[in-house]
Amino acid sequence: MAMRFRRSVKACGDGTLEVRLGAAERALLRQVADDLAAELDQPDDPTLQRLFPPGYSDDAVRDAGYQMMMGDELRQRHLAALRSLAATSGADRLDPAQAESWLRSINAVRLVLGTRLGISDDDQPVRIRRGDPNLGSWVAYDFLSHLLDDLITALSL
Amino acid sequence: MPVETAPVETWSPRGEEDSETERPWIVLVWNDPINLMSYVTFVFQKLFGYSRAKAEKLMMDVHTLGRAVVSSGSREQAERDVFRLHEHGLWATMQQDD
Repeated sequence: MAMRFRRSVKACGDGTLEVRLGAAERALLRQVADDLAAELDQPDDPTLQRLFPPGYSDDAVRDAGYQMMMGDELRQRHLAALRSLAATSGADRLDPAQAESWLRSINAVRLVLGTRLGISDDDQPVRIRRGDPNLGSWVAYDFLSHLLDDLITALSL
Repeated sequence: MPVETAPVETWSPRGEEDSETERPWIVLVWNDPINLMSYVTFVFQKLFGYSRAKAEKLMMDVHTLGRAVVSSGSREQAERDVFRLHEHGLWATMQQDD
């Protein structure tokens, strides 16, 4: 079991969050946010479908209507959160709206990365092995999972 | 501006439509291997105002049973809930209650 000695996010009591991350971690956040935002502008990769689930599981006609009505708005919401994460990746403090964008966009990146890494089991361990061609993606996935958990702990109701 | 007209009798397939409109819509969240348990619990609390205990119970139902009903209501309410869940990356669908 990995020991973690500090959390990256702390609640300040006034609704803002304090973020303690290194320069490399902040650069990674900015990059994954920029990359996914660029992909969502031309969503032709099937792994991005994870961000646009069907609204109706048992009615294809109604689902087509839902996708037509809401699909673009959902894409815009995902994009806005990713752009906010990129813009505030260097910030030491997050206001509640920025924290919400971090939460949603970090989770969105995890969903796409996890899908591409073929994560298909609830208890599948994170696999960080030297020489793995997906090593970078596994490291990013692991980092984002811990950061998301820290954010939730800091925001917890 | 609308011109006032006499009410017009319109045909509608009675029985079926009535039961269509009366049966509530339910919103289901499905298990997936990527969303964190802590995240799912947090989203249920945040979107629906559920207590931590209720949100954790629903999250565990999703985790162990594969799905849980997280809200119900009119079709419009259900669509709004599904959209907010999708915005948060949860795998949610809606259907009419049996």
